[in-house]
Amino acid sequence: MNDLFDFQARPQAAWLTTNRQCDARCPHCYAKGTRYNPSDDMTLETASSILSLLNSMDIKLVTVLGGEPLMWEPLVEYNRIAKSYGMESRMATNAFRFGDDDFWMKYMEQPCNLIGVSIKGVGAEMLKRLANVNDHERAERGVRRALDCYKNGVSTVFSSLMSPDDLWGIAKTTREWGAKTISIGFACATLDSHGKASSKNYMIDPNNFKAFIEVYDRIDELFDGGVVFEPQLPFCMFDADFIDKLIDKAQLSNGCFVNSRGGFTLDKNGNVLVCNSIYHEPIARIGQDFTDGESLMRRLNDESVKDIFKDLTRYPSDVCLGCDYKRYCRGGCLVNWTVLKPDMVKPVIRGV
Amino acid sequence: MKKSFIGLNKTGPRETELVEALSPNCAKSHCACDSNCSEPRIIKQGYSGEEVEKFVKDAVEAARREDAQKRQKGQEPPTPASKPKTRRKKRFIE
Repeated sequence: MNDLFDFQARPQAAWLTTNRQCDARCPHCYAKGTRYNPSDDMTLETASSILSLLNSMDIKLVTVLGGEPLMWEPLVEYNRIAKSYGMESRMATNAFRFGDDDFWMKYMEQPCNLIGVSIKGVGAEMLKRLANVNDHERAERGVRRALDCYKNGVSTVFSSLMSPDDLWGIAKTTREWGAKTISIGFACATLDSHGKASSKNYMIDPNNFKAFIEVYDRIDELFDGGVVFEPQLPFCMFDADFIDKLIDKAQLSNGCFVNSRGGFTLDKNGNVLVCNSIYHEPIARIGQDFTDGESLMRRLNDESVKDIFKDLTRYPSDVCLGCDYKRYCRGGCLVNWTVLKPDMVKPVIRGV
Repeated sequence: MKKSFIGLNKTGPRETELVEALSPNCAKSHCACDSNCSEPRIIKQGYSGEEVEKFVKDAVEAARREDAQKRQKGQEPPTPASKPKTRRKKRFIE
């Protein structure tokens, strides 16, 4: 047996939740519980103080998240400050606003170093149905500009509202637009505005996994192997041959930084959250639990905070201890365990 | 069982081994995700800041060229969708 994890925080990256506004309305998104409130925008002063704090902790990888960070007005000025610290400014975005010519020009004066483009749909009908986007030309122009400029990959969330044909349409179109890779994640459960489990309506029904796997194989061929699957669910819910194949092909993404404590997320006030989807209860409050990088590290490694992570990252069930995938799988996204039940998991024995 | 602070239904042991991170393909492209990837984003993938600046510069120049061509052809460059449209007040005749 390997050594038990010490639950020590070793942050190398940070995520800033700069706003909760968004120009899409995807029903499965965690932002729904925030009600897209414009008063949740982080001020430039707060962002600047956070960058200074992160710099003192030697954290150079900083990603802005939303909502939709392109709707966060200080973004360009923020990028200038981040770069002045020698940081890599990154962003997770739907890229729609790049479709506005004036905004695109302004953004280009001080762009992020890297961006991850999240695809909500392609074509007028799909964008309207899945994200309630009315101006599909603007949205698609934005995504194409992002791909032309950054020469990057795309990601998308496969939810119960999306058919395998929709997923294939997204893959085919974004590939034609120049996407290098595609990352496909399953939709997770959502929390309501009080942090309680809200809905599992958008999670994929296990009866539909077969249809997903069929389309996955076609996408794999289309992208010459440049595909990544983020199941967000326990591996035992899938056919073990499928999981083994994905591991062999470097196409499986497991867990998130919460498992390794390799980073943290900050809310609009600079409080530290477990992650962007769990925003109701900060684990460290600025001005109260910490005032600088040193006191933040002390707080993150406080026994009470370690206890929270012990609880969050525990195995879903005792039977997981007998599973051959236990090194890689901790049951998928934490939030799903507000609705999933431990009796659904079963140990997978592969004799490896 | 004491539930965690967001009320998770997990019941397995709390003292655990570290989840071994896999190295998916996406890390070999551009990445701004929050996954537990063992191909850490600390290793710089893809383009440097300077290279991105160059893309940006090229794209600005291309957009300007396109606008100039449209003007030459007598077409107006597209109105940015972001620009708020001024609404004219409706006048009613009593």
